[in-house]
This record gives sequence, structure tokens and C-alpha cells, in this order.
Amino acid sequence: MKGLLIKDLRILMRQKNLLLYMVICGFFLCANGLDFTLGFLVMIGSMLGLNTVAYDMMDNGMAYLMTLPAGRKSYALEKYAVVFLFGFMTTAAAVVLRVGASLILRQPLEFGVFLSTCVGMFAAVSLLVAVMIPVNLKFGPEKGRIVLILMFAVVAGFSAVAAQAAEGLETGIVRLIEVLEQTSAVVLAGGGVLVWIVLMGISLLCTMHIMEKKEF
Amino acid sequence: MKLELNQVVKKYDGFQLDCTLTVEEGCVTGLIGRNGAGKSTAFKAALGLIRMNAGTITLDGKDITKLSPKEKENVGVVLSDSGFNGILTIKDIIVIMKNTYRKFQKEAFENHCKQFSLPLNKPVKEFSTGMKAKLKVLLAMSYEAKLLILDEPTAGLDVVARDEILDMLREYMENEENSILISSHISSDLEGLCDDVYMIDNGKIVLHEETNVLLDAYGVLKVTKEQYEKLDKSYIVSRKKESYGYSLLTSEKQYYVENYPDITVEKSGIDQIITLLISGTREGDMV
Repeated sequence: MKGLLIKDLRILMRQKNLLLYMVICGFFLCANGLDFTLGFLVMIGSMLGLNTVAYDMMDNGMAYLMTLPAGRKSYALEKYAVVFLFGFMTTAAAVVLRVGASLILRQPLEFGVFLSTCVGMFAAVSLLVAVMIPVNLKFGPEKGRIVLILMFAVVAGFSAVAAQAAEGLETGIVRLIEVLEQTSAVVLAGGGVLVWIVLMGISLLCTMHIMEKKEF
Repeated sequence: MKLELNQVVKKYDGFQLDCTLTVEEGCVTGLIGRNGAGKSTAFKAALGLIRMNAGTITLDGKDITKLSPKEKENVGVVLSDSGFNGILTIKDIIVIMKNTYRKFQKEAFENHCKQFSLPLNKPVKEFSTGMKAKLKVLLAMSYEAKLLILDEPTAGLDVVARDEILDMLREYMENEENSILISSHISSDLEGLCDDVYMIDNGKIVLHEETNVLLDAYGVLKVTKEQYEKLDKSYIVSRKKESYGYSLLTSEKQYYVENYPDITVEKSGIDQIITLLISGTREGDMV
């Protein structure tokens, strides 16, 4: 798996111009105090990690990769590792950029708000990635995008229907919000992490299953 | 290492691979056939890249689907249509290989790259077809694998580079534990390298013979219709209609040289054998 991880890092390094643009854009976004937009860099970092699937599939490269002594399950695991590694790296870069910009430009920094924006963005992106890794490996990057759009359309449709159906349940929702407000931040964070781990675990199992069945 | 494909069946729409093949330890086995005959499918099956409908594939007696990563390091692979992403340079690939194969021979690999004039800092996608082919073979041989599975390794190479690669493969075979399964469209590659050859057509193995037997004992008889009628057909493998009568592939050239002095008997190369076996009528089907 180490070899696969290094391969993906090397592929990322070959896109150094893109990384440089990201850093420059990040700095100017910081200068304008656009913390939320800076959080967007976190998303781009994770997407770069995900994009290594497309690089692997290019010119039928997966067939050769599957002959390496890593194994299919290790490949699946490595994809999650690389996506989160890139995500963490860009999160760290975003923090450094924001702090650096606030020091150089003497801007006030609400660090807690900024950090929670980054963490929130990372959590949201990781859930998106949890769907996209198995979808991309199953259908390929091109068809994967179409499948993803269809999935979002179904989820949006379902949400709209659910929202209409929930109109009568307003009391229940308000009560739920009240309960959540009374719950301590630690418990909420712990619960969030737990849900995140369960969802990632399900996604990883799906990806491993897809890889086991896939032919090259 | 010994590789065995035993009654391997893989079904696709309109095509079925049905293949039994053995690569003995210390031997170079060639797989030949025209485009679409099933060579690449057989290679993919041997590498566990596709799931079989029936049959078993073993490496030294162990099911290939159950090989550990450590055991997989004993197999060197060249796939005709697949490799590392072209965005990477050889320098990148060296780092990847060093972290993938415990026995990767960095210095030897770099020396071979220099010998073949492969630039270390240029993205592989900018290489010529020949350079890419050389790189694939060098990579497969760079970590002391005991079995090489080479699908069209010399495709796109010029004569000199081809000879150099073939010399390297011969050198590799000096270790008696090593084995090679190779396919090639260039029959002269196989004639000079392989111990035995399997011929595949339409997914089925139609001939398996030792290479020296193919080259020494096999031959082509050129006969008229009248000569054909009087001929002992015991050693005729395949027949093809020609303007003058028939071209006949025999597995006992000497028998016809001695007993039919008026018949033209030519030495057959692998190309001719393929042509006659595939476009001719085979022994069992002849009337």
C-alpha cells in the first residue's frame, strides 16, 4: 500500500502548478477575509485525492496496478487514505494561510469560527467522497459524474417530498433541536465522529466489494 | 516457478476462452495466435485480473487468487496496453518500485535505463512506443521475479532494441528456477527464445509443441490434387487449398522427404504454421 500511496503523492506533485495556484488564491481569499471560500480549498484538496482514481484508470492503467503486490482491498483502503491525507494537508495549508494572512495584513482572526468552518467543510466533503470513491470505481470517472448527478437529483427530490411530509411534524423537529441544544458539545462532537466513522466504514466496505468483483 | 492454467473457461458475449496451459519451471513458453484469439484474455486470467467461469490457475501449486503480496512479488508483468500513468517520470517510478518490491534492484534498473537511453526525468507519456516497451520489460525484470508474464513485450521495438531485450530475457533464464510466459506477434522472437509454444485460436489451444520440434520436424508440403490423393495423410496436421492444389502442414517432414521424393517439402516457420493451422482445415476436420 505504501507504494500506491507514494504513486498518488507523486501524481499530485506532478500537478504542482495547480497547487501553486491554490496557495496564491488561498492567500488572496484570506486577505479578503473570505473564510468560507478558503474552506473550499479543503474540498479541492480532497477532490485532488479522488482524482487519482481517474489517473489510475487512464489508458487502462488499473490492470497493471492490480498486478502489483498490494491487493485489491489494499487499493481500496489506499484511496481513502490518499483522499483524507490530501484533505488534511489542504486543511493544514488553509489554517497556515489564514493565520499568516491575518499576521501579515494585521487582520482580526476569529480562529474558532474559521477552524469550525474548515472542519465542517472537511466533514461535508468526506461524506461526498464516501459516495464518490465507490461510484467512480464502479462506473469510472466519466459515468461516475453522471451517476452522482442522478443521485443528487434523487436525494433532492426525496428531501423535497420529506420536507412537505414533515410539515405536520414541526413540533417534533423543534423538540429535537431543543434536545440537541441541551446536549454538551463534547457529546455532540463524539456522536458526529461516530456517525462519520460508521458512514466511512460502510463506504469502505462497498468499495472493497466493488474492487473484489471488478475485472480489468 | 511453475504456472498452470487448468481447463480455464471465461465466457464473454460472442467469445469463450477455453484454455489449458503449463509453464514449467526453467522454461520459456510462448503463446501465439492472431489478434482476438484469446492471448490477452489468457494472460489476464493468469494474472487474476478477470474472474473465470470455470477452471483453476495455480502458481507452484497455489491458487493465484490466494497469493499473498509477498508471493506476488515473484511475478513480473508486462501488459501490452497498461502500465504506470504517463504523467510520472522514471525517477517517480523508481521511488514507487522501491516502496513496492522488497527486492527492487535500483542501481541495476538505472543502469539498464541508461543503456537503453531512457531519460529519468521525462514524463513517460512523452516516450516513443519503443521506449515505453523497453521500460515495461525493464520494470518487470527489476525485482528478481521468478516468473515473467509478458504480453507482447517487444511490440513497437526496433530490431536492435528487440534483440537487446531478448538477450536480457535469455540472461534472465540462466537462473534455472526462472520461467517466462510470453506472447508476441513477431514469430522470430519466439523461435529463438521459447522452449515450447502454444497456439491459440478462437479461445482454444489448437497446438502445443516444443519449439525445436516445430522448427525441425514440422514442414509444409506443396502438392497437386493428384499427389494429394495418393499421399499417406497420417502425419498431416492441416490442409489449405491453393491454386496449384494444396499446402499441407506436416508434423513429420522427414517422412515425406524420404517416401515422396517428387513432392516439394519446405521448412516451416512459426508464421507459416499459424497461417496453415488457422486458415486451413485441421486434421480432425479433413475428409
